[in-house]
Amino acid sequence: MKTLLSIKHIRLIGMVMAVLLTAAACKKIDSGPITSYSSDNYWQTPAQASAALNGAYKALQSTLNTEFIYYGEARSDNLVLALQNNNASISVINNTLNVNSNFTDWGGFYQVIKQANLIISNVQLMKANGLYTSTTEYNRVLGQAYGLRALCYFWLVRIWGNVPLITQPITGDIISFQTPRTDTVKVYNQISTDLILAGNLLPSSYTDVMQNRAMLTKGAIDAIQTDYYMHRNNMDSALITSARFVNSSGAIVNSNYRLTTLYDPSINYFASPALIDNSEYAQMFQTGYSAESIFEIAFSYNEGATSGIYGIYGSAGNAQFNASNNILAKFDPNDIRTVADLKSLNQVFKFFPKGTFNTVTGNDKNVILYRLADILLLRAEALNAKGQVANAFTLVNQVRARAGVPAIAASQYNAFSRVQAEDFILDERARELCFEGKRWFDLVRTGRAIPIMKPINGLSDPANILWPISLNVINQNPLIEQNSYYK
Amino acid sequence: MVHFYPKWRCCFFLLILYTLFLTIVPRTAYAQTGGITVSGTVKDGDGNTLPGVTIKIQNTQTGTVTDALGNYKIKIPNAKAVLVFSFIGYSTQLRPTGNQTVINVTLKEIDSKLNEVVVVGYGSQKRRDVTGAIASIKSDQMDTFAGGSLNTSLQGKIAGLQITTDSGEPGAGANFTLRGVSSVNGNSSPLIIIDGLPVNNDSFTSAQDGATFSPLNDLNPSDIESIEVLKDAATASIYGARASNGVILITTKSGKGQRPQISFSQNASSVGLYRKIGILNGPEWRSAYTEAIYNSTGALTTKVSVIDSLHPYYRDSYDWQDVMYRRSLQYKTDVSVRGSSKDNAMDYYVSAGFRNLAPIIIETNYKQAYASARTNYKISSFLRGSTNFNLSNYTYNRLNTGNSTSSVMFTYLVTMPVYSPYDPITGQIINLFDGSKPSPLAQAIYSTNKIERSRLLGQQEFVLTLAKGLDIRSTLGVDYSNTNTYYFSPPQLSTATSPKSVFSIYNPIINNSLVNENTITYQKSFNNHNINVLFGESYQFNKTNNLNLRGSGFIDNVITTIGGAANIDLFTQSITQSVLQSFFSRVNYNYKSKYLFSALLRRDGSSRFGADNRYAYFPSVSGGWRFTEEKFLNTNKILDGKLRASYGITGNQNIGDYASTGSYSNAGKYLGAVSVISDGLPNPNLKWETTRQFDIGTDLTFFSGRFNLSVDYYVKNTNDLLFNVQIPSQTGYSTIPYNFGGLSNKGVDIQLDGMLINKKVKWSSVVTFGLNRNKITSLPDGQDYRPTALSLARVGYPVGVFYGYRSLGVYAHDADNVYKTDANGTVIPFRKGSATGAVYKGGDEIYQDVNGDGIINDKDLQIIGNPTPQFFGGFQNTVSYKSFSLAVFVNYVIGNKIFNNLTRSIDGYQFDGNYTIDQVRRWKKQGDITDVPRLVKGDPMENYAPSSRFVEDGSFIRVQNLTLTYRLPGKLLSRVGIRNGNVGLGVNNLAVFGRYTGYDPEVSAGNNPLGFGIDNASFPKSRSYNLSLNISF
Repeated sequence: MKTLLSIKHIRLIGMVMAVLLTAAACKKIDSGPITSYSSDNYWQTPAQASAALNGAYKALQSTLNTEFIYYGEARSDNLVLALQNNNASISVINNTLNVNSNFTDWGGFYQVIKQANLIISNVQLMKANGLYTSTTEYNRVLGQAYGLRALCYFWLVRIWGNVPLITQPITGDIISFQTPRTDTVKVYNQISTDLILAGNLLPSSYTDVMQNRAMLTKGAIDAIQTDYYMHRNNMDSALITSARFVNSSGAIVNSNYRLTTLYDPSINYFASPALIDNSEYAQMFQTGYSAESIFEIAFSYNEGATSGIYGIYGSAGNAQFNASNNILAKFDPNDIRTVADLKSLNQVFKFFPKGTFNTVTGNDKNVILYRLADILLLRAEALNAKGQVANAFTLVNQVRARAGVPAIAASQYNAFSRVQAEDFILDERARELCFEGKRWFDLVRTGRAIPIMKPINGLSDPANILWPISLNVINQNPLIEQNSYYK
Repeated sequence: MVHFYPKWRCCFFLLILYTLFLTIVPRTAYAQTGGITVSGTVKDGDGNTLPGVTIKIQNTQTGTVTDALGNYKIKIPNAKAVLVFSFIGYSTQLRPTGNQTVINVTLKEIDSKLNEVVVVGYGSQKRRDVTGAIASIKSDQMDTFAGGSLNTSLQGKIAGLQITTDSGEPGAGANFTLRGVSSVNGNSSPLIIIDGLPVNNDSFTSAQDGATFSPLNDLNPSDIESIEVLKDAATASIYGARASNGVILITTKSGKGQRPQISFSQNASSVGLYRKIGILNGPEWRSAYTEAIYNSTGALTTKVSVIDSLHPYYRDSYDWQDVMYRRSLQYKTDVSVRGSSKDNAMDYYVSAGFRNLAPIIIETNYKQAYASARTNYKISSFLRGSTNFNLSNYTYNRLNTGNSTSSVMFTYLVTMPVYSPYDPITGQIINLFDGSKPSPLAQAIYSTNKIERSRLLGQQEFVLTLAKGLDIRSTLGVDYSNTNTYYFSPPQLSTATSPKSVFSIYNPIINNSLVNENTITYQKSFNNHNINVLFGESYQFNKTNNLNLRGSGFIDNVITTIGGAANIDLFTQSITQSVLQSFFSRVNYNYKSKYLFSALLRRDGSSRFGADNRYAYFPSVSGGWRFTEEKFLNTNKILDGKLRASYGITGNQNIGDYASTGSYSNAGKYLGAVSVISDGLPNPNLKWETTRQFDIGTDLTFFSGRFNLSVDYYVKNTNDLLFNVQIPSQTGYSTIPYNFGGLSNKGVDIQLDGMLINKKVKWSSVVTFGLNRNKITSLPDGQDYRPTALSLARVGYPVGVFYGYRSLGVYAHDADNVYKTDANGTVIPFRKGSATGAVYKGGDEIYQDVNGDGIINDKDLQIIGNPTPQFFGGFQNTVSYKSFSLAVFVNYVIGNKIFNNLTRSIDGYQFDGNYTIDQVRRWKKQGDITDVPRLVKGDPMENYAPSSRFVEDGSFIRVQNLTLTYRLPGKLLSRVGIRNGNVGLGVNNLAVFGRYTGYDPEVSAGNNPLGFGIDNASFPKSRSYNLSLNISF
């Protein structure tokens, strides 16, 4: 080979090379996300904070989809197994929960808490940086974040007892992510603080009717507070918060809520059960967003969020649970709620139409966490505890009247001991709120879990009331100590 | 890379010339006296002249060498003289002179690896000059039968490279482990370079079921000329940041020979399931199921299908494996043309291929077409170039096969044997059993699950020769793929409990990668010094666009694509892009091809890391000594010997595109408004994973080139493992991208090949052997890392050891459960979970109580097996006699354990289903002595917890290929104008020797080492009988 190029060529090529190499050196290697945000460009506008709040509700949606049944209902005397084929259901009903059982990982609640922590910390920074022009919007987002965080910790402590208390966005070293369980007292204090903050920030209603029911309002916070104080046996405080719904004579004072209607003397629901689908009461569960609803989690077929309730209740031959003889025996034969709640004797059909039911599109039932009847009956319990039996039964009778069953006369309730009255109110709660994820917590907070469940599934150790903590949780964080019963 | 030949040779020849000049010239002065002068030209087999060939007169010291044009002239004393032509790398020839004055000689190349040119990063080298550890396979070692793939072609043929195919599914992904696991990243496939172009080497994972498909499936094995595997830092560091899992260089075929050569090959295979798994028949299952329910509830089951054995729908017994698997016919056709122009200025290779791989599962099919074209051309004396295309397109109608209980493999095994596929009264297919359970047959027939994928690899290269030895090379490459997944869940399988069970999914993914590389090379030889310098720059841009649409509301089963949906329930789009920018440089130097030295440095910048950690340097140095070139070591026994050593750093950047910045993603709508969830934690400190590797090795050629031996010892230490580390769920996140701990690998690779018999019968053989010891050296805070229930990472132990209870058998009687007897003689039994937990009874599993507290709980978990083999390799043999040749290829993996999660899942299945044949010997009554615990629905005593009971020996020896080829007689063929032809008969996966009881001991649960060796029922491997016909014109 010899030199093949003239000087002219070499110059030309030299220039080309220079251009190529400089071009290469100047190429930037920055490449930001396109279809998602990064932590560098989030929390810049109030709209982003609002979307993050919606994200928290999305997380809550997947956390309590059917879980509200497992955590709040399935361990109680209201349900029996319909099928022997699912470990999750068997272990809950038979009280054989273990560290490998389903629903023992608390991660879902912490996804909501993570969102809430990010919102709480960032919107305050945004406000400080002048990014919020509307205080209303700021209060709405921040207040709901506090409320959601409180709600999740309230579920967490009731299910597992001590839980890690995390109130700041996650940052730092990987080892710092491992924090131990916090004593329940501290968690309760945080819940209480958050609820008060949320109550001060939130409006009693929004312009959107659906948001009034499926997002936290001042009323929703009042309801959570009532439930919280009842759980903590703080009757005085529960009376204060529940008084925001109803006055001492039993009249509803919060115009955003009223009991839905059911009893209609002109209709015989027992003869034609399908007619109940038209009642406001049945609609409350089937389509949601009712006037009685204080807070519910929205599920929408069109938004791709369907609920799994029909797989747990309802569907003959596939449902996991049926109504137990215990709960069936509590009903008066004329109680219309049995028509609304059941189908073919013991199929739980509270959430589904008895007439035509499109199981595909129709299965997007909202999960009602708080409704007025719940608060009325909690208040009745508190009043009874405070010796105000007559006021208590005024509330109970409102709920009974709607169901078409006779009121409890003064002669009857005056004859009750305080405990008997409490028993009656709790039974009324079971009749009214059965299958809605309330019964187990009622039994636990009133100390009735062991006496009632022992004959049914042998629950005898108070330490067995708390759920086990998933082995996965402990594997990922060795600082988490298992609940004593499951050690 | 054809054009490298002359250059390298030229350089080499000069070296020889100089050497000879120094040593021979003084003597020739003495020799040049009297006699006849003989002259001539020496050429090689391809007709190229050979300068520097030594010519001696036999039994004298008289001699000469050929000049630059291969010409020689020598004076001989008389006509009886015999001339000896010798040249390194060529067989020596003796030529009696007689009365000839012109003797032209053609020297034959010795078939020795020494002269082989191997492709290295950004260039090629003669094997003897290589200072690193490179192994290669050639086109004749490729699996060309219909179902063959690059993955299986490489299996067992490269010492130190363990390839575990994910399944027997067409196009299945594979897990490549080169010299041990050097990364615990979920995506640790090696870097793949096709004809110099770094291609997208991510497995394509089906969004439906997680089954993985190999990116190498888009290349036709018949188009491959050679594959080189760069094993050590000396060779791999030139690819810096992506090289720590190894680099695989694939070279496709180029034009050869002047005359156009047309090759045609046809392969057909009959393929069937290699073996079935034993499951219960109807009566056995009835008894087992009844017992399971009774043991759980104390009541007898009322399930009609169980209690009524005369029921027309449930009276028969089916092995659903027989219903769902079939024997199928697969075939492949390849045509290619190769040749070059008369002046050799241009050569070409074009090919087309088609294969139809009917998988062994009914109602599935797979069709793939390939095309490739490559041409090299010389535009002028200083400019040459090449253009290169590879195309592939396939359509695969499949069923869910991913590693989960929704995979059809699992479904077939657990479908109750009493379920009849057809209605005994109407003869119609039954869609849903018991009104809710989808029939696997109906699923196969009515559902749509389709992948359509096209891929284009294109490359344009220009090389400009500025001066002698100085080349500028610029390449532009594109790697484009479009993968469409369709899924339709039909109304026939719709059940009331699963909402929206009639839906369609459309998921197109477009991958686009653009690479521009510019290099300058300069090579020069002077006074026996040979130097080769490379500078280069590379810029690679990757973009992925992933759209996912899910629609529902179809009016019928006719229009099932997304366009027929009434609603789009779900849509997500994810576009990600990344940039990799690199500069690199390499110096190769040798003195007389005796002392070899190489140093290289690469600087990579990746957009995936935080701004402060984006750039990293990856250097390596290596040296070699061809000791047989030394006079004092000159021995006849060893023709060639080389010692070499290298040290260097490679990296890994396999992590999500925006890993360091965190992400907030659209999570759908809530009350009609967009919702955004923080789903990725930022880690601004994220940086490169680095592997430091030391390698020392030797290459020996002995017995006149008949045997070659390569032995390497290496130590690899990886630090800052790059990984999406699982973090406690209390954070609200599942993982964080993190640099996480370190691990080390030490091992030995040995490859020995040779011609054992070289007579009428020829027997050549290649043995490979790889031995690796892997150990985790550090983890954050020294804590165990346990992302799955079955595997564990613990400091001081190999990656991914199995973790669970040690099973000691089954209690024969209730009374056998004795933890201890207290002072009063009261027996205290072992309890499950806690001090108040349930007492183990007869028929329950006996778990070892490690801490001796009488309670079996997670404190008693221990390491129960290691999925990493002690050694592995292959044994290739070719025996030929006259026109027959027999090839046998055996590969082996020894000393690893498999966790048989399939058996555990079937027998511990929480829903109603069939059981494995093991249940025939289950514990049934007090006193039964067995190893299979009692059946209890729901398994309250956790007899099916991960335990050593499911750990099995995974060692195997597989007769992977046995092929008999007959070369058709030339006379016969020439009559019909055929130059060469052969027919072959072969068996693939002929036999597997091993103790594992699952479908196949080659199990892979994806690319994550913390999941190796866990059998989750993937598509079973098949055995195929192959027939082939190859002819060329």
